[in-house]
Amino acid sequence: MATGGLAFPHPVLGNGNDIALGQVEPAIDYEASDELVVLSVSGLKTDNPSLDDLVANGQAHWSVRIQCARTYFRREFTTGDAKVRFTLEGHELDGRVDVDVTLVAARAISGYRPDGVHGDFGSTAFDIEPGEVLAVGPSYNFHIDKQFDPLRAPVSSFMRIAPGEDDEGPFRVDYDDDYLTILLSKKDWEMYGGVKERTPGVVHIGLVLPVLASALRAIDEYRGKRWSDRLFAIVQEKGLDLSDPLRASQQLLQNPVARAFHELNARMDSLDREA
Amino acid sequence: MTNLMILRRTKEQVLLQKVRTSAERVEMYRSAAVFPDIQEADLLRTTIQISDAPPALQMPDGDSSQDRSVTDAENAIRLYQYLGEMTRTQASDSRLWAALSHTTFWEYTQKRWPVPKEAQHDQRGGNPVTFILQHWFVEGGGKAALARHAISRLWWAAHLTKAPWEKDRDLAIFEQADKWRFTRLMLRYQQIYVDVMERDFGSDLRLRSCFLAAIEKWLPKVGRKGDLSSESAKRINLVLKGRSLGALKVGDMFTVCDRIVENVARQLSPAVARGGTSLIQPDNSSQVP
Repeated sequence: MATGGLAFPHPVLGNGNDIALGQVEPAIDYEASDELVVLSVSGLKTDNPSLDDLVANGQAHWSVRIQCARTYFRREFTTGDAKVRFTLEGHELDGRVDVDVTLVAARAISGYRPDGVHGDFGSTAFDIEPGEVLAVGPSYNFHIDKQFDPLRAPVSSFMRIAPGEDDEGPFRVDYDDDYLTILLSKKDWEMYGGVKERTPGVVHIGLVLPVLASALRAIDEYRGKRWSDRLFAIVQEKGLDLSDPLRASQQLLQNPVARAFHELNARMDSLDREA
Repeated sequence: MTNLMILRRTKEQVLLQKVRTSAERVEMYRSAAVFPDIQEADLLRTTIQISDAPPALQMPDGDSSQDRSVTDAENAIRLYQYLGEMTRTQASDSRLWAALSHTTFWEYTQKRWPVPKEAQHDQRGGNPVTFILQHWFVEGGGKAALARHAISRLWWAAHLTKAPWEKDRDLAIFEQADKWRFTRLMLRYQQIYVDVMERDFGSDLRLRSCFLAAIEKWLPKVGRKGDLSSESAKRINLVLKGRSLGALKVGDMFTVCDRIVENVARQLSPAVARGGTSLIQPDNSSQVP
């Protein structure tokens, strides 16, 4: 039926007046930094009993499609939960990001005839194939503007993390190299390999933030070193106040604590769902 | 090793403006042996490390755009090996590509995309200014602009198609020894390139791979290779309006793409319609349609 929207071969909630009962109006929120984009989608329900039942019994699921034309990024995530959070690498997205939320068949459904279907469909029941759209929500978009030159990562351009000489124990910092280098013990270096990609926010608050604050305090002492000059240029560019290095570090890293909390919450939510 | 350089934003704007306003400048893009208007101070040093020795790209030859596209796949591989795996945001920066087409790859860009004469309204787009803006600059941004730029199109083609099974293990069903299998296919026929790079579904790793695998399977069975791709892409776009293929498992996604491409192949080729040929072998021909 086509009523001002697309022509679907079966009734679709949100497409004209195909289905009078229910609606799809999820809330979408995002937080973006150079390192991470955290997208939260909540309110994934239709208030249409037959459609919500399909989700509850696994016959349908929500599809959240994230697309960014400028970076050739398009990915589709599915969930049966009413609330979901995705964490994407910051470098995947730049400029306009489109988000589309639809309810789709998770498997073949026979005899589909949702509550509130328009009378024009008569008494017909439909056979639905996996992936076919059952409900559509409004389209959303937001813009991600990189605050730094994308070819000059703010931290990786002057700081790096490397294995040190110690077998175990606290990390050390080498201020005398071109790069400000955090030297982890061999034992910690091994574990670092397992967390750097999965929870970069934890690395930021546990290692990068304190070392950056320490480096800002010592920035004048090391002028002429590559890392110091680069860091100084970034501080100037952003107009940061060096009298409060801990605050300046957090500004430079764009609120790493909030980002780490989001990241950990997302990971623990995911573990809770799996449990 | 050396650091990759990009144009300063202000210089990029100046170069764009000169192309739009100066006939002499347009002539420079046709015939100058080197581009004389970029000095070291116009460039910014990035943190991306590349080899000191840029690759020798194969120089395209011939009068037609088909002739000149023959070297695209091999050049895409060489360029990608040279520049490496940049992030998506790095690789969508217009200044990077404008710098490369005006410096390191000036001669290649001239030969691959020879600027048409003023009154020449051929398939390359008759307006020389528009032509230069499309192939030497990433004007307007977005994927269509990246897909037209002489150098960025090669990098992105390689990036999006190199060994997709290494990025997503669910795509292992397509794994072959040749990591560049889909790169070679996509750049062998310009229509496939356009259909993948300029349509939204081409940005989805799984859908892109399924589409290319299906095209590869049916391509040897039809004569009008470009039509197979364009018609199949149109139909997939149509299906996507009512069906979320991206939410399917890879096997199911491929089945849908395969059926669509098969139907198009049967319409295009009576031999396929009679079902008389094996469809297992990939297309190994090097003929440009």
